[in-house]
Amino acid sequence: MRWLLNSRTWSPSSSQFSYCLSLLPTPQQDEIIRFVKFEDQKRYILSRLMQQMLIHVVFNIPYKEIVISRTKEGKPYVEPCYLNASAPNVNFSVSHHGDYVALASETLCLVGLDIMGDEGNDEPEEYIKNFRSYFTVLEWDNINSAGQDGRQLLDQFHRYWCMKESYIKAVGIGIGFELRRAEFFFKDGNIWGDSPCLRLDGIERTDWHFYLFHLRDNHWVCVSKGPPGDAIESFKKTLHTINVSDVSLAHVLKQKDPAFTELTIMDIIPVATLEGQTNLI
Amino acid sequence: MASTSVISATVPQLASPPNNALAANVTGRYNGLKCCQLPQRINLRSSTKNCPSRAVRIICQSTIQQVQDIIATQLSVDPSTVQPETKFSELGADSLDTVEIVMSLEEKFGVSIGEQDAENISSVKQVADLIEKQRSI
Repeated sequence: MRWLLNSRTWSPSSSQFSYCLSLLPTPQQDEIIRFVKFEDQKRYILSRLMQQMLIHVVFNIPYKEIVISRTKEGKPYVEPCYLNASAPNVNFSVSHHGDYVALASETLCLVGLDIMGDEGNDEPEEYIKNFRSYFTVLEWDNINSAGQDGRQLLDQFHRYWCMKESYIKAVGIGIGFELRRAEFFFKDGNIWGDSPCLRLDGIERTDWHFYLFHLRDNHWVCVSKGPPGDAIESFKKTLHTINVSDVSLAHVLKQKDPAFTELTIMDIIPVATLEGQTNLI
Repeated sequence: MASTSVISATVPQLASPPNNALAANVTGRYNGLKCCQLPQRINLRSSTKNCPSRAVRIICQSTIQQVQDIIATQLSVDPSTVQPETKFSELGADSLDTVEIVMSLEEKFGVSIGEQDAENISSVKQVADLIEKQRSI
């Protein structure tokens, strides 16, 4: 699945908001109050509802029985008891930036997703310099080859950052990873290409595939796909089949990444739970 | 329908610090070959070393309080949810948030947190301890 939702399409009243919040498990309802901004609370609900809808659709589990847990690093996963031979490694990654909340899922290989966009920086060149140490020499040169154009500099920086994040999130790391270990490059030298390659600790990893694309309003999205064996231990033990055959994996990894489907709030709430609420937008 | 308290849509807005407030002259923090060029700071080291131990404990307490406030502001979360034992992952921080938090803290406290230390940060208290360690060097 590849789902995208623009939070601006959802302008709930207080009661509509409360109703959608009530669809989440109680601990998550409690978590939401830590967000002081209403937009953050909205995005939190949308992200969680998307995850629940995914599990509901893939496994047909009754909505209220869905349990999505997190590893100690914060990686969300579905309870292993639901996995089976036909969907052995259902895993997913969510990301949000600005108005966009997105989810990507796979059933066999690992998947990671990250969205990056502007954060209102007036001085892109100065802002980006702060992150110098997180990039390799090659990456830094590529970013700066955008020259004096602030827009292009920011775009390059955002592209590289979401490439790295998409890898980290696929393997379940969270934070605490030396970002320079994952070096991204373009085989044809085109730094605006859409299929970067990964060199991990100096070794090229042809078993990882990445897809970059541009979303409206200066957002960049990267989707990563890789072998289940690369998941970190805490995440790996939630999967069903670690040793996937090279043939099966290669087949999945080489498939063209599907386009994202744009959803609305009504798409991520099962009809059966609506209980008379006909419109939650 | 489960009964839940109505979340008010008019929640107080926390001002986020502008990103260009990050020090432009902090260079090569994690590269051992380059020196850190930090803005002039009051030298807290000499002032705390000669203080009675109770005063030092008070200063240490305010470090973690300041750290909690900076983290809460950066992540736009209620400061009361940022406790010493709180993990960054629990607050929804991703790598970019963590990097920006570390930079804000370096700027605020006039310290340099090494790359290896920065990578291993996972809780609020760890960050505060790192800052205290840097300030006592």
